[in-house]
Amino acid sequence: MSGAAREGSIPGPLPDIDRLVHEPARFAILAHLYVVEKADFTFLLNQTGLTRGNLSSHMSKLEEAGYIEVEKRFVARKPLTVLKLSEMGRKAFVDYRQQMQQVLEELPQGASEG
Amino acid sequence: MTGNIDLKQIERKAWTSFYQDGLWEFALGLAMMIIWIDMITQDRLEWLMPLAMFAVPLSIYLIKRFVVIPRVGYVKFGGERRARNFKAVAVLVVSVLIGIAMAFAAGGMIPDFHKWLGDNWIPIFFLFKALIIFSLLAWLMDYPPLYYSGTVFALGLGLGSLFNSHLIFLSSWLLILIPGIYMFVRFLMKYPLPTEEAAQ
Repeated sequence: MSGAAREGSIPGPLPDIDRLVHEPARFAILAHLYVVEKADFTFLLNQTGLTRGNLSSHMSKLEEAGYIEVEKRFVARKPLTVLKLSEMGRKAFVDYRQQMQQVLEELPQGASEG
Repeated sequence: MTGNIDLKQIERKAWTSFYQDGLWEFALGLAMMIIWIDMITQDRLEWLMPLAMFAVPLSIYLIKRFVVIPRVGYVKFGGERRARNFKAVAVLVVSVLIGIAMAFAAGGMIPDFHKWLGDNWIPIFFLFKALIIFSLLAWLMDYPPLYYSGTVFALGLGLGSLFNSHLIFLSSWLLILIPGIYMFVRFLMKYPLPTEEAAQ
């Protein structure tokens, strides 16, 4: 990295921010799973306002990363997909919130506010 | 994305979306309607009452299971909510037991119970009991509409018995059931039944 680029880079913990959690749709999924014990696909679809395809693709990414546990089963011959935040996902979500709060606190006051 | 979000608000929104289906209003409105039917038929359908009191909760359970949950989705709330729900169920059970004990006592099991307590005090007791129980339930369940329907139920039960007025019973079940039907229809419109694929 050049000196100029380094000078222009944002100080503090921002480079360490978890990009997987940072994406708004995935953040919404994690936030909803953080406050409940578990929920199914339909519930998250209603709560997050995401489309079916969007939720499905983000769900796969979070599952691949080990942030959520997905359980697929049949209830009365109908498929039921239940999602649960894993310990790793819980930690990632808490860390992300702390890091973001720290970044926001460390930001200098805007010129208009001064 | 900012980490500065209100998780309590997200949890509360999830909670209310799962419970604002009007079923509590259905239960209370139908219970009051059964008492009203018993009153206007002058106890001719008294045999039907225990059956109806069993059928109402069963119907509510079946509607929740087969109409509400498939639309809103399945969710298991956290420990704090479950503990509050457990307390609400305990309050409800204790309340029903007190009600049954009072009904037996007033029905002649305790001789001179009416004379001892005074006829007018029994409906007043039920009014305040229902008022306290439903306010407690509304608070424990974090379900504000129950403050309204519980108060109407308590007033209807107490004043209806005190003045022996079927009009009070009629208006109270209508005042509870109509908002319940409105809430249920609004719920059905907000949460249409997802296709089988959408549930995956």
